[in-house]
Amino acid sequence: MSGRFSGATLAKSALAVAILGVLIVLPLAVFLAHSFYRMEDREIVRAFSFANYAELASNPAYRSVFVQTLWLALQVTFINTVVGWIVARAMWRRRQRLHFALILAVAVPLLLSYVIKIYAVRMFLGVNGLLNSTLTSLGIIDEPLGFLLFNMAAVRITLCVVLLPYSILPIFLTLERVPSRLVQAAEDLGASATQVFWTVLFPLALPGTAMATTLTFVFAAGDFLIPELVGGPNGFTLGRLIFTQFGLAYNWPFGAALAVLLVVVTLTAVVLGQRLAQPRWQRQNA
Amino acid sequence: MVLRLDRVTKVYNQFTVLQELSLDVRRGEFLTILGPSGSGKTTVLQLIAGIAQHTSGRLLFNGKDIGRLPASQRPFNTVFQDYALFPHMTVADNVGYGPRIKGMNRRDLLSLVEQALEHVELGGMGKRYPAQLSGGQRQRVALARALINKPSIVLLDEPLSALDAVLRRQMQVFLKAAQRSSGVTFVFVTHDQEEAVAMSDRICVMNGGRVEQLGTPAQIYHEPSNRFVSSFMGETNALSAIVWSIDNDRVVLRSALGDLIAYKRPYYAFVPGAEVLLNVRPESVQLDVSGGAPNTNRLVAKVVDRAFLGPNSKLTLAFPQAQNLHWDVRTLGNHELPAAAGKAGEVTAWFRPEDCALVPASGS
Ligand SMILES: Nc1ncnc2c1ncn2[C@@H]1O[C@H](COP(=O)(O)OP(=O)(O)O)[C@@H](O)[C@H]1O
Ligand SMILES: [Mg+2]
Repeated sequence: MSGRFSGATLAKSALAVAILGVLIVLPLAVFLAHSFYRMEDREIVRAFSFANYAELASNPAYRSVFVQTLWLALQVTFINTVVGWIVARAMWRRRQRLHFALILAVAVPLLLSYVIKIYAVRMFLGVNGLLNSTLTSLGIIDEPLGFLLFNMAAVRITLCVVLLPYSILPIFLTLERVPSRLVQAAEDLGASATQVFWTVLFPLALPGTAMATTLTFVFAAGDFLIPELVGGPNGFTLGRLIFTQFGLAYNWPFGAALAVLLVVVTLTAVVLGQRLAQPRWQRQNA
Repeated sequence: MVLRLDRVTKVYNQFTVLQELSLDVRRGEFLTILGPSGSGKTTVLQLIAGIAQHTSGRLLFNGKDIGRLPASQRPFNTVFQDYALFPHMTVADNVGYGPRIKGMNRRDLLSLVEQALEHVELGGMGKRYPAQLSGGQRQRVALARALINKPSIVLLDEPLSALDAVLRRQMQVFLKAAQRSSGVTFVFVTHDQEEAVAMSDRICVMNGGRVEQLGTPAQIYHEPSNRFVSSFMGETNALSAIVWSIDNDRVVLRSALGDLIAYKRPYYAFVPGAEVLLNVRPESVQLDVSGGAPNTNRLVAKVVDRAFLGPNSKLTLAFPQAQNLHWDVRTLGNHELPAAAGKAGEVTAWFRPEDCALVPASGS
């Protein structure tokens, strides 16, 4: 009897593994396989070779795009984590009504179309955009500023703006879960507001911070649409490169190799984030 | 006197939680604030600690008004009801939090923390996290974390309510000893009257945001100043009566059970004709076993129930003259119906005039 029961359980877990396998592992495996193929006369040659990876490693242009992308993602992650903390800390412990309105204000942009958000930032930064027209009408500048758009800085700004909810929300949600008793205890023991922040609030909201940094980094490193729409000729990133390989350049094997590289970067970020999210005191209790 | 609350009122959204409460805390004493849930005990502690702000009145520490000082600048420390230990810090870091915040150097801090942990019998536990400790151990960490700052007053909010009965007894003894040896003033909150009596130098009985009575445990127990205190401080037998006459040292009462005599306590302000409630503790009611009882305060009663409680037994008495009136009697050891029981289970119960207390029949 028990043999049949465990047989059924086994079948169920096998099914779960199979679904996961088909939906996630299989596509990744296909990518991995493709990354070892080659293009010849606009045909994919299914012969195993390391040529794509060799090209990636040796060509300084690709290396610089890779480094540039990592650096961009790190900058965006850092800026947004700091801004996310400032906003979340300002939202913390507000009156109930205001509280709800603030969460809504942060969460609603998540529901908007990605492209619309990008165009919104683009319209703000453009030559005829809100920023330029405001500055001109105030007489601060005579000519509209052209350097606001279509470069790496524009990519950075747009990524920061579009991804900001992903840092505010996780930080805010963990911050709200810190028991007010602990804050009272710290104050009772003589801690100033700054000391309360660094000794109680920040360490206890670390899992949320880890979540925020991981999400932001992964999105920023992999995005192709923002560099495509506001990056201009200089704003080249790994995501955009992959996009061109699968589109314009029509070199799927090389695109696949780039994608594998991105997956490795992403997984590394997730693993590091996971470690940060589970500090020592929590691991010990488990 | 180290701390004085002077007509302190606390209002939470139009709801008056404390009403013109005045209270003096003496240096080095173990003062217990005792009251039912919702009577405002926690609020009093929070006002003293600075976690909440009072609406009106004054809070005087050594004569200076500290009512507007933030919590971090008051020389008091709190042991919270749920301990409020920092989960992300080791026991040692929890205990050393106060001195560390104030910038004590590492070496002094280490030896101070070690000493503090020894003091609460937690030597060698410094590297653990709070989640790895038992309730009683967390309790002691919270106490050490407060005491290490050498506060003028330690405020304890029902620190024992989460512990089981045996541990509770041990912690009562431990806390009491810790207070004695440190000489620090303790303001301790509980809703458990036995705990209050066992631990305190003085008890402040609270109800509905007011102080009902402030005094030594014996005063509170034997000389309650009103109905609330007499009924809250353990079991009591009550009887409505009218003051008939007052002598130098005795009060003659007229009641459904006949004329009774009560010892006149100095604080009584009754006049003849006043309606009072006579209270006699169950352990003060005696049964006339040998027939040699005095002539005063004799009550003929019937035993309607008996319960064996281990060290003693509880007999429930009913009276032919007063229906619905029941008194409880504690008899030591022997739970058999006493030999004094005559026909139909009748007994004669009596109490000494000095073993009863009178409180006004009206009022709380
Ligand atoms: N922050 C608060 N806001 C509103 N009402 C409160 C607050 N804190 C306490 N109260 C009210 O004050 C009364 C006394 O509470 P408390 O001091 O916690 O009593 P106790 O500790 O004796 O149980 C209760 O009726 C409670 O509902
Ligand atoms: Mg309370």
